Amino acid sequence: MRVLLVEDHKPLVRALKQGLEEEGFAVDVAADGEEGDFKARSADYDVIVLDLMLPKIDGLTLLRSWRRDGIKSFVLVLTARGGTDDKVLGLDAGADDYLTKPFELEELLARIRALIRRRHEVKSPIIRIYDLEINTASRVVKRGGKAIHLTPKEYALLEFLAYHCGKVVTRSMIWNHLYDENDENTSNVVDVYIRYLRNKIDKGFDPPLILTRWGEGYMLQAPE
Amino acid sequence: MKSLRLSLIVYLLGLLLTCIVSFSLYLHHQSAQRVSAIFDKSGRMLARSTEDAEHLLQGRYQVMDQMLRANLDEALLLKAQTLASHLVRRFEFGRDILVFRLLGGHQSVHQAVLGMPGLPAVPIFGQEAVRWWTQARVIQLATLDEIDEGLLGSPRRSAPAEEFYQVSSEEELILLRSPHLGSNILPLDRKTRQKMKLFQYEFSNVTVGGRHLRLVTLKAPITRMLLIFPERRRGGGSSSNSHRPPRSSLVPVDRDIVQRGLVPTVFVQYARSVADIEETLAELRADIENVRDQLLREQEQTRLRLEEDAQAALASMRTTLVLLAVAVVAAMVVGSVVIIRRGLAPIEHIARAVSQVSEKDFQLKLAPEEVPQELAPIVARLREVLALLAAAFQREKQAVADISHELRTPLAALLATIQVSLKKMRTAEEYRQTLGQCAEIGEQLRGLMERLLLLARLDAGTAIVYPQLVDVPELAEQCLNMVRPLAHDKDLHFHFERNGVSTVFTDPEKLREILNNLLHNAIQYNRPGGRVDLELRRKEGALVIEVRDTGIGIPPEARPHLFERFFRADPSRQSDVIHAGLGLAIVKGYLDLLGGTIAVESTVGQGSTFRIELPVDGSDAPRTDASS
Repeated sequence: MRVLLVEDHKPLVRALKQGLEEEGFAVDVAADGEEGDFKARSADYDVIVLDLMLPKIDGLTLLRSWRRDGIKSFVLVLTARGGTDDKVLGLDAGADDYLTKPFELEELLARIRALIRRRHEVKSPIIRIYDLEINTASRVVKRGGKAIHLTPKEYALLEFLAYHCGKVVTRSMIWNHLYDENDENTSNVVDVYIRYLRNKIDKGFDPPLILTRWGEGYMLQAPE
Repeated sequence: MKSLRLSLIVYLLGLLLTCIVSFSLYLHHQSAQRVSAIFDKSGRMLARSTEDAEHLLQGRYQVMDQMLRANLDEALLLKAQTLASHLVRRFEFGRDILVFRLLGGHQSVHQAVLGMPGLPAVPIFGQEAVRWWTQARVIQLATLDEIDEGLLGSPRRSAPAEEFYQVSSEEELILLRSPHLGSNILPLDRKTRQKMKLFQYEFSNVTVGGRHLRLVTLKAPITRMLLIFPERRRGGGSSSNSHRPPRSSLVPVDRDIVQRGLVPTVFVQYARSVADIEETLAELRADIENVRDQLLREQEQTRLRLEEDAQAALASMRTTLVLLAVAVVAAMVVGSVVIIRRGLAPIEHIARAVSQVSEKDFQLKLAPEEVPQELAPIVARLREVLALLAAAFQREKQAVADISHELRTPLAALLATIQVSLKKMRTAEEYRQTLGQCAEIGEQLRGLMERLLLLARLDAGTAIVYPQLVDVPELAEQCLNMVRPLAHDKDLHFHFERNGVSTVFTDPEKLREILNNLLHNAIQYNRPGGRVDLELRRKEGALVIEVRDTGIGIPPEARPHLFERFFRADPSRQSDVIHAGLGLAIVKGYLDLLGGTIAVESTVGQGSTFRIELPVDGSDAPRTDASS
């Protein structure tokens, strides 16, 4: 899942970026309003974490312009202003969630996960596909009751496929959602990770759940 | 008093009551005086009429008294004269007999007088003889009571026992007297006897035998003696104090004869008791007394009635006044409550409008026509104060939000850094890095706290100035050296002009802080490759420090707020600026403390100039009294 972090306080950005990346998120960073606006418009982020007090263009103005222009990314507003008025103002401007500084890292992560579930219209944190079980909260994956260890990247890929269960996911979609702006796009990086994932999910289980659609992409699907 | 309305009512009623009470008292006093004046006058009139009546009665009494006494006197005199003339007649008769006897017989005088004992043996003649005879005859007469009967003109029976007569000679020999006089004698003192002239009479009041009598004493001749003494008539009266009796049978005798004692005279006295007159008069007096008493009683009653009426009238007036006062007070209570409520209505409107003012809405919801002229200045001032308050509130809110933001963001960063680091095992190098990041954030927090504390101290007035002799150029040089690395990053150039300024007596640390802030701003908001000018100069007792930059400039609308806390001309924030919008607020606070001023000139896009003026004495010599 790809997240845009719009925040001007450098130590906070550094910590959040690290925390999110270690959870398997692809994190882009914008240090001021202009940069944030540019990035939000140029990529389809799953979640945008937006500070309201930003240099150049403030968060609320950005949010309003995004909503006006139909940018559908979920926005989690992050600000030092804790008053009810500010929350109302932020939510009314089009924010999907609100978090007041200082906050617990876990809460931020949970809220981001919840937003991602909402984005894919999933209510339960546990996604079941045939005998595959993905707990998006604890990030534990089991198949046939047997726990499977995945790296953050592998997990993120599986989760992405699971959220698009039964639909074809193209390589560029995967790229766009799982890799941040600094990752180098080599032609087969997605294929490599699909292979890794198949080795862990499908190897030794039957039937295979990760299918390849030639010329289109991949699809996670339960057998009919 | 707490309630304006209540106090107004009380004061108004107090005034009213005072007016009513004093007016009533005055009216009452006036009326009482007038009534008492009328009362006095009628009393006087009453007394005078009583007095007049009394005088009238008294007058009548006196007239009656005089009349009665005059009548009595006249009657007495008449009777006395009648008696006298009777005596004369008797005497004449006797004399005629005597003369006859003298002529007819040869008897001596003695014999002629019927041999009365005690007569002198010698013959007597003339006057002497007459006297003797007279005496004898009168004595004789005296024995003959019947003489009196017709004489007195009243039957003996009816002759009142209260009437008395007495005839006495000049020798005090009582010739004749009323039998019922008893042993009493009508007094005739010698002096009167000698003084009296013929036909003279005199009235007197005497008391005889316990009776009050009116007595007339008349000196009358006993004979006309026409034969013996030739008559020499003289018309008119004989003496001044006697008048001729109306029916006198006496022939007037020549005065000389009488004077010579040639005519024998007697004193006829006639008295009458005045008891009846006095009784009548006493009755009259009693009547008068009665009438007077009655009059006085009536007067007293009238007076009492008048007084009662007056009191009643006064009492009724008092009642009327009290009722009137009560009615007026009641009316005024109601009226004043209504009037004051109406009058105070605008204040209530204002109070309601003020009570609706809250920290969310500082607008005074009051239509201009609801504000009376007198309260307009208050309301206007109130609006101003509320506007100031709203601005202050807004600033305060902003400041709290700003402080909150400035504190919360580094704190969030600190927490996030630590929590990320704790998520899994890290290498020692990674931990070192994390700790370094935490220290950096902590440093930032500390700087912020210090600045906030500094401002709080400035606000509380507990910041203290430690003035000393400061070498300003050197201090400025130090400041420049401190910010030089920052300037170098932005490729800025410094220009420093001392203009011969050397030492100044001031607080070096505060001046350093001021310069640091200004230089920091000049670098922060400068364009890359620009320049920063620092100029020192002197101007009439002041040290001028100018910091000029070639930065973005300050828009005019931002200039009034430049020295407010957390204010930044650029509404967005740059968190790497540790001053957090407090720098110029601190500069201003320090300059206020040092007695200096700061002015800003700026052109957007070209740069800004901050000019500080610090008051110093004309000389560079240190001053000892320049502490704050």
